[in-house]
Amino acid sequence: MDTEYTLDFQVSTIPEPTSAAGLGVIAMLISLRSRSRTKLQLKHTTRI
Amino acid sequence: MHHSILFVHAKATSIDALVPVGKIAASLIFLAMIIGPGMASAAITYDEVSQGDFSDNFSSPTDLGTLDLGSNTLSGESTAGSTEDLTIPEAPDYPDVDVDLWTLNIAHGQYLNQIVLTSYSNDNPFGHTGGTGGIPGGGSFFAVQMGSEITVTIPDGSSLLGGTLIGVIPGAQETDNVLDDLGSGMFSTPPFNVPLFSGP
Repeated sequence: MDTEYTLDFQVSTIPEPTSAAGLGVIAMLISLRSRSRTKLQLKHTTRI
Repeated sequence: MHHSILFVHAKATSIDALVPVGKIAASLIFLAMIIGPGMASAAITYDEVSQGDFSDNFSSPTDLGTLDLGSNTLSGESTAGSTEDLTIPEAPDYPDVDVDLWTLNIAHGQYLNQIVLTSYSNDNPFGHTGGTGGIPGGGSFFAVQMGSEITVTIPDGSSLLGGTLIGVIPGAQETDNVLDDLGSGMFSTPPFNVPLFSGP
C-alpha cells in the first residue's frame, strides 16, 4: 500500500422545475389585482 | 442508460501521452460508476480495511449499489507497484499493482453534485521519478467510463468520460471537490464533458 484515500460522493435531489400551472396562477392573481386598482381609481375619479 | 466511472488506483506512471505537460508519476484509481435505475438505499459507507479489497478485475468492478441522498463515503488503499510506466498495456495487470474498481448507481430524480476527497495520503516506496519532466508522486489517477465494466487501455483515454489526478495537484487535494477536475481535459481529448450524473 502506498496510498490511502477517502472519497465522499454527495448526492442531491434534482430540483423540480416551476410548473406552468403555478406560473399561470401567479399571473392571474397579478392581473386581478391590477384590474381592482383600476376600478378603485375610476370610482374615486367619479366622486370628484 | 448506464454510465460507468472508472477509478483505478494503481501507482505512478508515465502517462505523458495523456498529459499535456510532461510526465506525471501518479497512483491510479479506476472507479466504475453506473448511472442507472437504482433502488432507494441507505447511505453507502465502504472501508476496504474492514470490508475487503475493492475489485481489481476490470470486467467485474465491486458493485456498491445505489448512492443515498447526502454523503456516501468510500475508503481504500492502493499501490502503483514497482512499474512506473503504466503506458505498457499489461501494466495494470502486474501483480504488485493494486487498482480499485467499483460501480455505483444513482437513483431516479437524484444527481451527483460533488465528489469530495476527504482524506488522502501517499508515499513513494518504489522511488518513481515521474519520468522526464514528471512530477514524482503526482497523485492518483481517477477516471470515469460509461458502462458496467472498464475497458480503457492506458494510454488511450478515448473511451473515458474523463480523468484527472487527485491528491497532490492544487484544486484536487484534501477537502476539495474533485468532480469538476474530471472535466479538466487532462486525460481525455476533447476535454471531458462532465455529464449530469443523474438518475434516469
